[in-house]
Amino acid sequence: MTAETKTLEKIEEQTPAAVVESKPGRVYTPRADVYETGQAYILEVDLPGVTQESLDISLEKEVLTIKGAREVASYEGYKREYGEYGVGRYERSFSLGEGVEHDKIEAKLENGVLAVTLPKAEEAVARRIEIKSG
Amino acid sequence: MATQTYLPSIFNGAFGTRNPFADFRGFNDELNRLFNTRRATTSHYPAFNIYSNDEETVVVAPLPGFKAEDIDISVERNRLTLSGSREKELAEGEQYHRRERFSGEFKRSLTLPFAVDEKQVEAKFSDGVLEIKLPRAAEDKPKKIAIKSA
Repeated sequence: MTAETKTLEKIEEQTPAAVVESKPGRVYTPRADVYETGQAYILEVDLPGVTQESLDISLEKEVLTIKGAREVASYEGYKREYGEYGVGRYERSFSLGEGVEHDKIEAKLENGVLAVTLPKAEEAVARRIEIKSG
Repeated sequence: MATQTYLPSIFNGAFGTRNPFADFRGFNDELNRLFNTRRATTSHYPAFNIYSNDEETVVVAPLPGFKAEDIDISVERNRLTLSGSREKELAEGEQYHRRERFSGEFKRSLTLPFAVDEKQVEAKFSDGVLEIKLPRAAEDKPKKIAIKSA
């Protein structure tokens, strides 16, 4: 997990992280929490407005990449009076490092939050060693 | 009649369409994150995008991870107040490696430049995005005055 912590640097909240490919819209880095349980690492990413159909999660080598497009509600006939956040696409990558069971990664999207469960590999799970008194 | 005439200057006017404080707020957030004092910075959470026409104003706010029942919306004449809380407690033996997402309580108010028809307010919450439609009260709408020709 230390490898993961290293790769996640600061977030540019209001400014787009990058403009990639030729698709229209801006790309934002979503906020994320990472916590560790006994059996897994849990990654939670804020993706408001993203539906399952517009979400794409891929794993290449040790890098988990999350891409999501937010459905832009068009307020036709309305004037945009005030804006505090940009609407566009989300993209963020996480370096998993070793110790994650790649085949057992699970993801769930609920209320605009993506929760990814990254189970620890066998050898990474701390084993309790019994001490026999004799 | 252009819509900006009934909206306060913070929405528009002198600074154009861009809010000059937005960059500063981003910087402030960044500092708070560095010093891990983000719980104190709820006054501008959630972020708002605001759209208007002559009939109504629509406030859109991302609240990812909240459930509809966690959010309270109240409207009193021309004042909209949003409040709610979301707290995640980790179990024994679990620990955070990174915390960037909002948690805790928030309360944010918005004063509109017109009286709202409180009974007609509609709120929708889907995929972590809250949308509130605030229709302008009929008695508050500009009246058209007919000019009689002599």
